Amino acid sequence: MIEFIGHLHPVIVHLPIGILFMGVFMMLYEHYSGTDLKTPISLAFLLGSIGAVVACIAGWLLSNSGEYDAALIFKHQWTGIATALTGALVYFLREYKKWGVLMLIVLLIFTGHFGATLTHGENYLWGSDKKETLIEQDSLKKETKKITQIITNGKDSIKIVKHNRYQDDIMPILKLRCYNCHSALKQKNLLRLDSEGFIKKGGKTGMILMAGNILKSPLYTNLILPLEDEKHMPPRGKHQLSENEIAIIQEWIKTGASFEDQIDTLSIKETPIKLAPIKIIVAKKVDTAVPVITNKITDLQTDNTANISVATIASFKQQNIILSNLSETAPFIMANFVNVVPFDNTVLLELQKIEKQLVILKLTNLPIKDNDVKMLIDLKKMRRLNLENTAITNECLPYLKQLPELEQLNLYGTNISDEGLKQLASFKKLSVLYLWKTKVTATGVDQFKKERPDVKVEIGNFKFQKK
Amino acid sequence: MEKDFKIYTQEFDAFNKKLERRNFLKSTAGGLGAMALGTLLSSSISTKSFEQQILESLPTIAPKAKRVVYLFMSGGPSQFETFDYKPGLAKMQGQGLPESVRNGQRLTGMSASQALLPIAPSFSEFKQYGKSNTWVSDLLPYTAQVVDELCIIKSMFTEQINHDPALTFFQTGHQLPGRPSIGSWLSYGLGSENKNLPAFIVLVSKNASRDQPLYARLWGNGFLPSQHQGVQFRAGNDPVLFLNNPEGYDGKDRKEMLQYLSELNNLQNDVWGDPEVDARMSQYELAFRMQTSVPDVMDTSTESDEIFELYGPDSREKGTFAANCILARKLLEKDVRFVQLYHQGWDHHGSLPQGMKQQCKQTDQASAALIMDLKRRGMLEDTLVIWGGEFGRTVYSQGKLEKENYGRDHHPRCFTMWMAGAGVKPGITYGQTDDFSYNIIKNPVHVHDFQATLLHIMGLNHEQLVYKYQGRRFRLTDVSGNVINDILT
Repeated sequence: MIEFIGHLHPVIVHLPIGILFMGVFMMLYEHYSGTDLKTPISLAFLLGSIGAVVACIAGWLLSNSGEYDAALIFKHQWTGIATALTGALVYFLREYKKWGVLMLIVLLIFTGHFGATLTHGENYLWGSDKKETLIEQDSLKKETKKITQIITNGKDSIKIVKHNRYQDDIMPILKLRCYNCHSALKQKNLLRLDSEGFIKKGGKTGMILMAGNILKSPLYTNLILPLEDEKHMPPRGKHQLSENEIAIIQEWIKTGASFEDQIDTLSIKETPIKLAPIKIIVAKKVDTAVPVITNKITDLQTDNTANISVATIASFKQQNIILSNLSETAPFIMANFVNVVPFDNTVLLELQKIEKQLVILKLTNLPIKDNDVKMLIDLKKMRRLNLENTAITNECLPYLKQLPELEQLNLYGTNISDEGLKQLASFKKLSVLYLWKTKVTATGVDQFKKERPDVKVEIGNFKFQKK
Repeated sequence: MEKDFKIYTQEFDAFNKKLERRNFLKSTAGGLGAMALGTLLSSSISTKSFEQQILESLPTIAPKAKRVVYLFMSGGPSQFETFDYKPGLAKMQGQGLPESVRNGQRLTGMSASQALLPIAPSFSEFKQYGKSNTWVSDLLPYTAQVVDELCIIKSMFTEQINHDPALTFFQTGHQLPGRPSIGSWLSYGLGSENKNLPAFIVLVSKNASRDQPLYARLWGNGFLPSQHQGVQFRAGNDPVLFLNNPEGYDGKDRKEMLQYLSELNNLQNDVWGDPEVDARMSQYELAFRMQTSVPDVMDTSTESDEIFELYGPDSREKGTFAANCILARKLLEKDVRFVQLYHQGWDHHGSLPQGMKQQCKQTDQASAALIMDLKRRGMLEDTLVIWGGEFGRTVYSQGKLEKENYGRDHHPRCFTMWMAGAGVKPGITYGQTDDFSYNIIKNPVHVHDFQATLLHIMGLNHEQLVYKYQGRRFRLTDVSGNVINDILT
C-alpha cells in the first residue's frame, strides 16, 4: 500500500502545480482587468498547498525505495517542501502576497525540474531523440576500435591488434538503453550498469551476468522475455533494444563477457595468426525434428574461424554419415558410419572435407579393405580409428602409419597378425590397441609389450574363474 | 484454406510461418510423396521453437559416453547382502535398532507397528577383491571379479519409500507419473545415432519373479514428442509388438502404402500443425525400417559358444536377464543411445536369504560379463553401464529374525549402486554409510544428482535440457541436482 501511494507521486504532483499556477494567473488577470477574484484566488492557493503537502508525503514514500540518486532527491525534496510551505504562506499572509507568489513560481520551476531529472535523466530537457538515434547508429556501425601495437627488435616485427569489446560494443548500448534507470542517476532494483564492478555485482535479485552462459544471465534473458513480462527490460513503453543490439550482448556473454582488452590478431611479418578460439558446428540432433544445420554456422563464418560449410554438413547428412561434436572449445569432430549401408568406398573421400576437424572415425562393421584405408591417409588429425570387424589385413598398416596423431586403434575382428603387430610398434603416439579375435598370438603380444610397454593392449582373453 | 486457420498475433507468428513454409515446400518440391516425408520436413523447416533454440544453445559439454546401458534392479536390492559390508552387525544380531540411529525417521506401514526392530546381519560372507580391495558379498562371485572396473556409490538416497513412486522418481525425476523418462530426455537432447533403431530401447527379464509390477510409462515420453518414448523389445517371435506384417500379407506394397499415408498425414499437418502428426510420421518410417533391422539385431544364433559361456547358462534361453544382456550389447554395437534392462524380484520383505541367492544368480554373471564383453570390443570407452534399484533395505528384520531366514523392509535413506565405463573412475567406492547402513555419513548422492551426472557424462547440462509444457519449462532433475564431479574421469 505504502509503495502504491509512493508510485502515485508523479500523478499527484501535477495537481498542485496546475492549481498554484492557476492562482497566479488569476492574480494577473485580476490586476489587469480589475475583476474581483479574491475568493477563487484564495481557494486556489489553499487547494494548491494542500495538494503540495499530499505530493510531498507521496514523494517521500517513493524516495524510500532507494532507487534514486540521493543528492538529487535531497534537492527535490526540500524545494518541494518549500513550495508547499510558500503556497500556504501565500494563502495566509495577504500583505506580502506578490513577493510570496514570485518565490512560489521560482520554487515550482526548480522542484519540477529536479523531479523531471529524476524520472527522465539529466539530458532529457535539452537533448533530442533524433540526436540519440544518430549516435546509436553511429556507435553500432563504426568499426570496432582497434588498439594496435608494434613490437620490433630491428629484424622481425610483431603487430598486435587489440580491442575492448565491453568499451566498444557493450557500453554504448547500455548507456543508450539502460543508464536512465540503472546508473548513478537512478538505481531501479538497486542495479547499476555503468561500470564493470556494478555489472558484476548485480542488483536486488542477484547476479545478472554469468560469463559464457546466456541463459543464466538476466542481463540477456530479460531482454528476450515477452514484452508483457514484468521482468522484460527495458519496460514496455520505453525504447526497446534492436535485434542487432541484443545479438551483440548475446555474443559478448556467450564468448565470456570480457571486460579486458582482447588480442584480435597477432601478426609476425605480415603472417597473420588467428588467436581467437575456434568454434565448430554442433551436429547434435541427427535423426529427429531439430535440423542438424544450426544458424550458428553463418555467424561463425563472419568470425573467420575454421568451419565446416553448410553444404558439407548437408552432404554428410545426405550420405548418412553422422558428425558429432566432441569438445566445446576445440574443433574436434567424430564421424560415425553406422548408417552408411550399403557402403561404397568413394564416400571415404568425402572425409577430406573435414580433415582439419576429424579426430574420431568409426568405420565399424563395414566391408573396408586395405585399399580403402589408403583413402584415409590425408586425415592427419585423426586420434581414434575404429576399424573393428572390417576386412583389413596387415597390408593397411603402412597407410595408417601416415596418421601422425593416431592414439587409439580398434582392430578387433580383423586379420591383423604378429607381423602387423611388429609394424604397430613403430606407431609413435599409439596408446591403446584392441586386438581381440585377430590372428595375433600370445608370444607376438609379449614381444610387442616389451617394445612398447606404454601401449595398453586388449586381447580379450578375459575368462571368469568358475565358482 | 490454411489462411482460415491463421490468427495474426505475435504468439501465432511462428506457427503462421511454419504453415507458410509448408505451403512453400508443397508447391515447390512437387512429388513429396516420393521421399521420406518426415525426414525431409523435419530437416527443412527452420522456424525454430523456443525448445529448438534451447537445444541449439546448449553449451556442449564434451561428451564422455555415447551410449548408456542401465541395468535396473526393480524392487530394491539389499545393500547388506551385496556391497555395503557391515561386519559390526554380527555381534548385535537380534538386538533392537538403537533409537539414536533411527532418530524418529519414518518407516513403512509394513514394519512401523513392529514391537522390536531386530538387527539382522548379512547371512552372506564378504571378501576383498581386485586391486582396489573392494568388499563384495559371496553372492556376487562374478561381479567380484570385475570390481576394478566399477565405480561403486554406497551413498545413494531417494525421497520415496514405496516402489512405484520410487521407480517413477528414479526414471523421470518426479514421483508422480507423467514426466519423460531418462532415455526419452536423452533421445530428445541427443537424437538417435542409428536411424534404423529407436534411440531408447527397453528389455524386461522374463525369468524374474514379478513381485512388483512395471508399467510402460516408466519408459514413456511424458510430454516430449512421442517419437522419444522407449520401445520395449520382447523375447519370442514378435520382439516389437505390431511390427511384423499381419499374417497373409507379403508386405510388397507396404512402402507405397506408407507414402500415401504420409501424404494424407501431411495434408492434415498442413491444416492443424499438430506436432503429434510429425511424431506419427517419423514413427511409421522408423517402424518400416525396423522391420528389417530388428530381426537382424534380435538374432543371437550367430553368437559363439564362448559368448554364452561368458554370460552364463541362462543366456541361451531367450528373455532371461543374461540373454537380454547379450541383446543389450548387440544394440549398443548398433549405436543405440540408451538401453534399459529391468529385472524384477528384489523386494525381499521375507525369506531374503533364499530370494537374494536366486536374484544374484540370475543377474551377477551376466552383468559382469557385459562389462568385460564391452571392454574387449573397445566399447567400454564410450559406453556407460549402470546397475541399481530404486531404494535400499532396512538393517532390521521385518518379521521374525532367524539366522538363515529374515526379511528387510524398504529403506530410502541409503543404498548402493554402481556405474562402469565411459566417464566414471574405475575401481573406486564413493560415499559412506554409518555402521548400520541406515544413514549416510559421507558424500550423499540424491537421485537428481545421479541423473545430473548421467546427463553430464552424455554431454548435456541438466539445467539447460528443458521442455516447455503447460506453461512451465521442465527438467529431468526438476529444480535440483548436482553433478558428482568426484566420480568423473
